[in-house]
Amino acid sequence: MIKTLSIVVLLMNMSPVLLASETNLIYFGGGGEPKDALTTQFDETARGLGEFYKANKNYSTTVSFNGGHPVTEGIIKDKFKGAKIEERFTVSSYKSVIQETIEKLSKNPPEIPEGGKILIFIDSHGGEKSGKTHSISTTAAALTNMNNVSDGTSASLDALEELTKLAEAKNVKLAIVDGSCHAGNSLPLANSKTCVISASGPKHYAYSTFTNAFVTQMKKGKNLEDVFLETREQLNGLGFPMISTPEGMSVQDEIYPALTPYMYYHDEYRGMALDKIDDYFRENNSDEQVCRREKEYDSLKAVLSLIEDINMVEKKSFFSSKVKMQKTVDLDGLRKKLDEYKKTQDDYIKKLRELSSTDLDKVETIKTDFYTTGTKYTYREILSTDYGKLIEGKDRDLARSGLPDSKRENLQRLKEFYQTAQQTKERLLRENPQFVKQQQLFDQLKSDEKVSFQVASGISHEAHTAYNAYYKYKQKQLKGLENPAPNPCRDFVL
Amino acid sequence: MKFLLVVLFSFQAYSATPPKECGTFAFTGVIEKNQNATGYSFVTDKGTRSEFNFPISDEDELKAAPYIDRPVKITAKILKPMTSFQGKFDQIEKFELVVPDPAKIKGEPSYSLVKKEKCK
Repeated sequence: MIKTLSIVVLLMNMSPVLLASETNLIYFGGGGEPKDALTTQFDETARGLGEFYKANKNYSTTVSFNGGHPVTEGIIKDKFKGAKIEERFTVSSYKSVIQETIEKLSKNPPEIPEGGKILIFIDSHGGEKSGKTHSISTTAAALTNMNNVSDGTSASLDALEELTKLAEAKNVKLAIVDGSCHAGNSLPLANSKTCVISASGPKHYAYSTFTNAFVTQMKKGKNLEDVFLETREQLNGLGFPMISTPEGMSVQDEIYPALTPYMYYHDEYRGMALDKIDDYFRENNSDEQVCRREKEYDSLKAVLSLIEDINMVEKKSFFSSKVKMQKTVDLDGLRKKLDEYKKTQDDYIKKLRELSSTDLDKVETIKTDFYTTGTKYTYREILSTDYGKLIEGKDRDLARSGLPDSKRENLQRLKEFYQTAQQTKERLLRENPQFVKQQQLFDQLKSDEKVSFQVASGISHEAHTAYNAYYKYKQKQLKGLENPAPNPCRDFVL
Repeated sequence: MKFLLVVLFSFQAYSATPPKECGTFAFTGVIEKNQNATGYSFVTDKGTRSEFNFPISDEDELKAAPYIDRPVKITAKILKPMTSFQGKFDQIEKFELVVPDPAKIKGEPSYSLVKKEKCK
């Protein structure tokens, strides 16, 4: 009796160790933030994921996150007590954690058994597509370009491909939650055992509450598909979260490509351009491209109408025997916002088409007898400067009484510089009359509130309703199939 | 009375304080012609309790010329701690046009520290 009890007690004590290899959490990210800052933009999500870890100690957890930002480091130490914590998130620590996990799966018997789970949570700055997926920032360098983070200091998510293949072969459930910008580029990592969830589409920034909301929704017993859908329902900001389920892939294919230009905008973050609209206009103003744009817009409107139609319900009237159809999903708000933004974009494209392609980024050095080294300006800067007003300002300054001679001399030299610059501007205009119009157009674009984050995020927000309703419809459709496709996100129960 | 105190407190909390550290900062504002002096100044949050004013030197004025009277972000070094809302740029690194956000919809501050450095 005592012997049996001892064995039971021993097994109970051992169970966390056994479970630890069955359920695994890996947390990567926190890179690309400015050095010398105390905090990072990833702190809130780190706290939230830490709460999940605290409540689910059966997860054998490895953290390779941040390093160099005291507040963030403090959160990691406090919330992930007992986890294996790497000092800094670097390319080397990232690769070493992946390699360790591959080894755990490769051992005979494997340390992560068949049916086991690995959840990889990524929260860092992410760039546009590079390789098969995309790259994310590490702590080796502060981010300098919001679109491209692929350099020697970034970590490519391509490195996870071997792990996804091995997990599939070993029948281990793998989930990759990519909370970075352009995270939709991680979806190619999905397979029959790997669920991939992204905070944004491949062509968009994840300027939203996605990761914070996602970790809040992560609760024991929930599957990742439900966590994703609940997160999407309460999302704020701009982004187009994606999931690799058959339903998700289908909805995303039908909505995302056509919606893409209407979630572009012009803004900036920490001095870096958050800009895809300039390039979109530059690259989409040929006859063929304009024609394709119209077709894509028509297809988007058709999908929106379909989503409304499939969500109609019959409504009986008290006064009439006739049955009326009533909308349960109303996308009029989205349509209105799309129409308005499309019109704004069409106006820009039309004007651009009227102008020939010119390079406003060419540089000209303006010199005078005094300023012999000269000052470099782009054509764009020269053409957008009102030198007449500057000269007038100098005349007003020179008319002031009581100025010391040295100051007066300096004002005169500045005035002469602006007069030379004015002549340069006139020459550029004579040689390239189309410059002014094109420059005005792009300058107008940069400060046009009709092409701002508010407009694009408004569309992104309204589009959630369409996505969620269409997703639920696809779920019902696929439920009826005899041999449904694998759904590793639904199978991944926390 | 209670309401008034809350309102007053809120205004106090809203007004920005001058940066105490030194280093590279990003300020958002407008470069304007000085009305009572020669030259130009860069002004943030004009007319509010968070208004900062930085005179533009003659040398910097040439680089600033294309950005005068337009919403702009200036990335600049400040190497002496600011004691008032009148500051001095020790070195301007970059001028960039920005989308105006006068109502502070995005809730972004007038300035942010890009890189900390020791004060001189």
